[in-house]
Amino acid sequence: MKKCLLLIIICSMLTGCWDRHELNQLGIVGAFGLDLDPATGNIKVFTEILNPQILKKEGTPPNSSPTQLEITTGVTLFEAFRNISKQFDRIAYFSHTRVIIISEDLAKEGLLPYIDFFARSDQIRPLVRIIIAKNTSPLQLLSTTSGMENFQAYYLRSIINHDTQNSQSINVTLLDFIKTMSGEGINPIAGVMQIIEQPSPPDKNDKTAPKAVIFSGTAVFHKDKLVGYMNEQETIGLNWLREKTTDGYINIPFPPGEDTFIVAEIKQASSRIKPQLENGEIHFLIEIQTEGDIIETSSSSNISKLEILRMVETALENEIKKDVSSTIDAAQNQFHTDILGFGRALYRNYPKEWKTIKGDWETIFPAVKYEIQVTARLKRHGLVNKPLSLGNE
Amino acid sequence: MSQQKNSSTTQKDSCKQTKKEFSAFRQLIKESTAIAASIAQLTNDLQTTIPPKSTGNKKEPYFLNQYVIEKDINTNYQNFKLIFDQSSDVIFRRLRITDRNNTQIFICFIKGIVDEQRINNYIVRPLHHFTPDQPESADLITQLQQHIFTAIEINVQTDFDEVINGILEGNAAVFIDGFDQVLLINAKGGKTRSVEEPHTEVTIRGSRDGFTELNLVNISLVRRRIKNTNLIIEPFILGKETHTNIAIAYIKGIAAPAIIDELKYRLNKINTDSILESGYIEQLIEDHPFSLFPTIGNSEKPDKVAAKILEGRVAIFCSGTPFVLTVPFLFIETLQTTEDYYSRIYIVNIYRMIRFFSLFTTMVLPALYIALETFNQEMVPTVLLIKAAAAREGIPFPTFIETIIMGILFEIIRESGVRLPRQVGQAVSIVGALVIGEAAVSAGIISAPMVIIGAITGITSFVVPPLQESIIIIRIFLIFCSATFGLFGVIIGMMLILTHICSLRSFGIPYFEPIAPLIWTELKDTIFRAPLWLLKSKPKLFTVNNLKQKWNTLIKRTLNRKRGTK
Repeated sequence: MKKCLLLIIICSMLTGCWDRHELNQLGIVGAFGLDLDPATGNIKVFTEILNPQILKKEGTPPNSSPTQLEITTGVTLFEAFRNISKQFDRIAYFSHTRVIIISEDLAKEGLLPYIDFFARSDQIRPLVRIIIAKNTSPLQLLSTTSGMENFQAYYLRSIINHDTQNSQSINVTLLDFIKTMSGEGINPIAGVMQIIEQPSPPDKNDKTAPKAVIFSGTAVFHKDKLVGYMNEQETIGLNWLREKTTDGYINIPFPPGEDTFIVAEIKQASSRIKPQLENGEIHFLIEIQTEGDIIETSSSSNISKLEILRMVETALENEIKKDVSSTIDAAQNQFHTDILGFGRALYRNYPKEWKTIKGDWETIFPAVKYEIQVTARLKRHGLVNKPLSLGNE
Repeated sequence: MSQQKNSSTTQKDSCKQTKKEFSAFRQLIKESTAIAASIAQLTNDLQTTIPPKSTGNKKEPYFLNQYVIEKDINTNYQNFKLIFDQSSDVIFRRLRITDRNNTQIFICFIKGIVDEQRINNYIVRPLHHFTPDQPESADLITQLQQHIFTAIEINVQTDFDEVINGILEGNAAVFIDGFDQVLLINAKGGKTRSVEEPHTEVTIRGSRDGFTELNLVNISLVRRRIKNTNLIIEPFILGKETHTNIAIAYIKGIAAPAIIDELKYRLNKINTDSILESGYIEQLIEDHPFSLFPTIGNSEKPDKVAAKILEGRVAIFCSGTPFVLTVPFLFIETLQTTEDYYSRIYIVNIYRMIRFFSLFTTMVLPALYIALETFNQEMVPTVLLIKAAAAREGIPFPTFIETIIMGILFEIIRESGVRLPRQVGQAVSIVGALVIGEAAVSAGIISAPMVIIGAITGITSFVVPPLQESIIIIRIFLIFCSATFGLFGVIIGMMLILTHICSLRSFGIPYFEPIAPLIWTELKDTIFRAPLWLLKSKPKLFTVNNLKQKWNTLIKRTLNRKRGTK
């Protein structure tokens, strides 16, 4: 008994502290970007490592940078990551990575090997946001600082998280990406970031126009390869189908023909893609139900009247229909890739039929017919009933 | 001649015969003494190994039949003089009363533990004024007992040990010439501490009295709360040298007889020289002497002990200490206080939850901190992690060493504060807090979060006083677990502790009851306390009421197993 106990104690003591890393041995990675090294075809990694010193209240050196950007290359992604330790004094720690930025070139080549690495890794979280750098390099996105946050990774992530404010951008996690990439009857999408030149208050010292990061649009994939970008309007339509428009807004031209708008803030949105199979004909019914508030009007229509409100609702329905159909058109005719999940809906409802047409889906999808039904309700109209008028009329 | 010859031969023969018989007789005697010795040995063995079946309560003997009370007063006087020898505090008072025979009397008592005024008033003065004008039909001793002594409690004793015990307990023994009976007159007195508010268990609401060092006072405090004829007090005298008065108290008809029997059995088996505090008894009779967790409860508060007796528990009073033990003791009792039942339920339940949370925090927090700092950094919110990393910049020790330093430092400050006089204790804690809190952090030797963790751990450890001793060891154990295996180690360590708790028993009752085994009806007084009108039922396992056959056999079986091994 005593010997046994001794053995257990010795065993547990001699193992040492397996996997132990003190915090000051770690370099916490906030975001990283992937790019293709054009000269060698190797993978190039830009890693943003957070400098905790910046948050230490007292004794902060005034010009110490909040983050450090490491640029490494490698034949494989892992090699590139491991190469960080050749030049950086701490072990890169990826568990707190918030954003992965992928360059256009790399995305066009195909992301499968990298996504595989991310999925396999126990450090990279499935909720990391995937971003495609459009017309720019990930390095640019990681070094174009603005906003309030100390760390660029936080800045990017905050922009991404506020996508619901206008629903003109796509907030996609690694998990979503993996699911849509390997799922049947659906193709992945990803968020898009680009650099724009921003008009800003004139600065005497700086003559170049300041640059800013902008997050809008959609990167459309076919399997794991980037095929193109959707614009903002098409992205709104896509978000309607993904039920991600809640908290967004929509401009309703009203009354029709005039240049005035009523703006509705979307409070609730739900959508369903219903495949219908009649005599071998595939037909999709898209049902969208939404609820919103009137938030701004530039028209003088008296929306407190029920008939007029109903008319506004119809206009809203038409607007949604227009957005959604433009999205479907783009997917069918421009990109020829089913990012909307029509195939998945078909697979779920008609699994047997799906098996027979699965192979040909890519050719069937562009020509598939659909119908959009929208029910929109406007519930509240803010603190005033009628539009404000200019005194006695 | 022939006749003579004949007679001589017969004489020789008879001589031979008697010689033979004599030797045989000698042989017999030898054998019988051997047999007697072996029998004595056997009976002795039997007495020491197997206690008498229907156990009387153990009273450690003083002289065990070495002396007897003689009728002759001088022999008695010589004996007692011899026994108490040179002791200056033992008083012998000889006097003669004015009856027909001028009977000699001597009184023996110990100064300091008797009230001398009372001895004077109740014994000596009446004896001096003794006039044998009463009809002397009764013998002297009954006459003295019935008519002369004005004391309330008078016992007639013939047993030598009882008399010695009586004297040592503070009675005055009155020896009368010509009688082998002794009158033991209760004159207990002397200086004792009065009933005060206990320091260990301070309450806002509830009674303010606490037990003292005197058994009699302690029992009376409980008696006053439970005015019930079924409240039974059974005395024991334990400790070969100290002859300490022990009493067990329970309510007949509520406490389960199996547990009372078991307690008596264990008390009777105590074989020790001295008992100076109830802790001695606790350590001698507890179920798991090497467990981290106490399986016998103690309290200084009469209302608490009364409540426990009413729930079917048995209290053990030990003279010389204000701490009264209660058995069986369950884990959940460590988290219950008397105020839980005196205050209204809302605040009670909030505080109960805080207590549970604090118990968990004080055990796990340092371990959790190590695990999250050095193994499982992915579990921490990023900003917090960066903050922690910023605090750790330039700290020379690994987190594990830091935690150990903080833990030891805290225990040192606590221990030094406890033992010192109150004023100095404060100074110690101020110096300690300043040194750790300010200097160590600003010098960059210990990180600021570590000080916070140490402080929280320290404060929460005071929330559950009964477990304080076990908590320290558990905390260190968990720290080691987490320093070797991270969060995984913490979980494994906690599972080990939980398994250990579940395996414990207190007097046959599962220690973690009513959670494991799960008894639904008793859950109403665990994490939450239900309103009083729903708390009518008594704990099932250790009361006579509602005791299910299943539990009964279970408890009996475990108790038997224990007896077999001990």
